[in-house]
Amino acid sequence: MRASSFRYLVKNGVRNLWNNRMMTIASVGTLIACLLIVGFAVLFSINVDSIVEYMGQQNEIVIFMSLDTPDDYMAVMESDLDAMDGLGEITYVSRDQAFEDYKEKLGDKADILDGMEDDHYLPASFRVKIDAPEDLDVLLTSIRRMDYVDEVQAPTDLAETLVSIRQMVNTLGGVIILALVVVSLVIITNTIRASVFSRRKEINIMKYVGATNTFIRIPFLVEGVLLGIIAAVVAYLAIWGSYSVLLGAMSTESTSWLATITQHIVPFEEFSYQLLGGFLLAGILTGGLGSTFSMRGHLKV
Amino acid sequence: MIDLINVSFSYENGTEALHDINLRVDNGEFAFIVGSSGAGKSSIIKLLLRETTATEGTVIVNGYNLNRLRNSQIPKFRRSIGVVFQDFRLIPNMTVYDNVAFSLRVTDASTKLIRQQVPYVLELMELQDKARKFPYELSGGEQQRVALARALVNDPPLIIADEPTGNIDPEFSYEIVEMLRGINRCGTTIVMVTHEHEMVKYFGGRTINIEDGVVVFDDYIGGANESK
Repeated sequence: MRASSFRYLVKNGVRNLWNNRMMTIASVGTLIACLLIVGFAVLFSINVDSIVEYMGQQNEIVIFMSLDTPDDYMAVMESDLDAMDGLGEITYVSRDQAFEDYKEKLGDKADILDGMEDDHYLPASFRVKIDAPEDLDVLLTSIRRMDYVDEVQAPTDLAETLVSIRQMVNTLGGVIILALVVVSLVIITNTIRASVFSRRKEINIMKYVGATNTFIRIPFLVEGVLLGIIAAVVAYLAIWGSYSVLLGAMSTESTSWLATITQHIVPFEEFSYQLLGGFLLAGILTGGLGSTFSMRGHLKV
Repeated sequence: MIDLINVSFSYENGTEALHDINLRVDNGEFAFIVGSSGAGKSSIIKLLLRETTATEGTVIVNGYNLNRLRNSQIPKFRRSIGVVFQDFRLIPNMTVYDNVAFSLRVTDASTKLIRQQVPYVLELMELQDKARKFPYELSGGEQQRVALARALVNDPPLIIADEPTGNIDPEFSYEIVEMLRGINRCGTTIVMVTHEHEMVKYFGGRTINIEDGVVVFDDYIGGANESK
């Protein structure tokens, strides 16, 4: 094909967008609506996941060491814990520190502890944050097997709950998003099919003057792809805007729990490229494939 | 040019539209195909344009055996024919110029050729002032002349006109046929399907009458304006 013919076909596709503007608006509108719904579902799922993950990390286990643990063993223990996968921040609380903490807790009644500085039964301990709550059971088993470990306190129930919430959010989010994608595809294909159907006469005429199927398809393909790009960009900007507004509104709230959550909302910049890329890909694919499939029946003349 | 040999054609529901037709139109001829509605005229057009294939027999057009034509060859075959329809079939959102240029563009013609050829045929059809107009801004007769220009612009050896005067006022009908005859005098074969017997009698020439799917008459008749 000559370059001039190809240019003509591309130009034709662009012009068709304007000539059939009612159908263009219908298709772009549908596509935008679908992308927005899917986009918000994805964002919601990402954020719930991030918040639940953060909450899970707030869990800590406390490892109490037996009273006869030699002082120089504490450093060994700490490096052993450090080497384990799935554990986060490790804080060592020495026996002296534990005593001080206890005194502080008692406040003005602290004087009952006077004289017990060197003769108390408060053990040294390690406070350890958990990075992988789902592996908690395995971690606990291996920690309990370590030397001089007296007792391990762990919020197993809470960890289990959080893990199952996360799994549920991920699965449910995935299913909902998949369902939305399927519904969107059906709606978009129908819209484009209606647009192609309204121009079946035109396609028919092209066939009679001896146009090849490729020649007829290119403008429709260009049109479909452009529809996709327009919808993707508009949907992206809309999500960007509303996400920023929402985040802004939440950060001015001073309620402590809301503030904590806001801090762990994934910032837009972190996934903006993926979102735009995903939208463009989805838009171009649905627009392009939608127009290609919708045309098939009309080309048999 | 056109050769139908023992051609029969039945629709999918079994209705036979054409029965054992033998018909030959040579290069440079002008032939009217007449018959009442339902006689089988449109079935012949469908066969000639390879919109459908014969149930039995052989259809040869412009050297293409249409029974054996592969789907990928159809566009190339159709470019060797100019077609004019009763309902004009112009692309509504294209100007007159673009409608005519379109049939050159599908042949991957150069921009230079398009710029030469399109104004030339528009002038031939006396449409040079209408180039920038859209089909809906034209009268029926003018629209049909655009369709004629589109059929001509590729310089095809054969033009098939399916009831080209069916949708236009009588005074312009004769003008269209005159134009077709003018094109014919330059060497292009023309097959015109019509049900307007009066017009055929007026112009005369080779007349093929089809009734109930068979050829009942095929001969030259003298026209009222024999002077030509």
